[in-house]
Amino acid sequence: MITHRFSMNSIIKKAGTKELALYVLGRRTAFRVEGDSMLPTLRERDKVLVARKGNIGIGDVVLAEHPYKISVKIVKRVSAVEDDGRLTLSGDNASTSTDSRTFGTVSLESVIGKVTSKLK
Amino acid sequence: MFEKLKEKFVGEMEIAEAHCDAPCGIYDPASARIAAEAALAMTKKILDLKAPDGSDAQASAAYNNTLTRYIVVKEQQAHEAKEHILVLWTDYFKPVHLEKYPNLHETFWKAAKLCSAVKVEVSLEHATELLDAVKEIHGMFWASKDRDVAWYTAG
Repeated sequence: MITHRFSMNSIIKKAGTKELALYVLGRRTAFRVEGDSMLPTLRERDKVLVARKGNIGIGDVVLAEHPYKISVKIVKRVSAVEDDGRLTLSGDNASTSTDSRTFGTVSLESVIGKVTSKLK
Repeated sequence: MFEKLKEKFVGEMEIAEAHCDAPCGIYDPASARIAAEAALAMTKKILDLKAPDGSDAQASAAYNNTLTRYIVVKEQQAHEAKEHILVLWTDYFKPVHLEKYPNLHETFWKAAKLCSAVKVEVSLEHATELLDAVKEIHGMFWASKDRDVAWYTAG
């Protein structure tokens, strides 16, 4: 489900006890970040926890299927929800955000989950 | 304990790519239009430039300098127009658009070829045709988004 609220979740916090417990219980999945487009929020080699269930809103950092590359997953921030319900994803790194004319919006179905915390 | 658990899980972790190709989906044929207009303007300026008498060294130097600058800008802008056109063609437009615009490939191929012609030649005809081709692309692009965006030029 999409919510049009703006998430205050601009910073991804280090996982606390609750997040780690959810991880151990299998309610979070861990991914390793590759690339600089989410700087300064996420760095290369950061390990993030992703919740597969729950609402997605503007401002959330999400894990999504790459629109064209099969089995490639991307981590980006939801910057807008279009009229047709598709999502615009952007990197946080300003210097790369202009280099963005690559592939359009993504469907909500392609979003795997929301990044809830990082392990280190 | 958590550290050990982390290590255990972290060993087989999947990758979440945060590379620079953020899919923010901002496309606009305006970039191609500005470059094509600049290439056309430079073509006109080159054609209008009057060569001085051979005897005046100072005027000759100024003429060569101005002509070279016009040529450089024409070269750059025609190339830039081509890059913008290719991005729209290969990244924005999808197979589904071909059904609606059967002449899509022909239009883009011709437009890209015109960019090359504008670079190689000093042709008012081809530079004008390039701007016309960008106008056609502008029409297809905004129609594909069901938006009515009027064509305009800066020049």
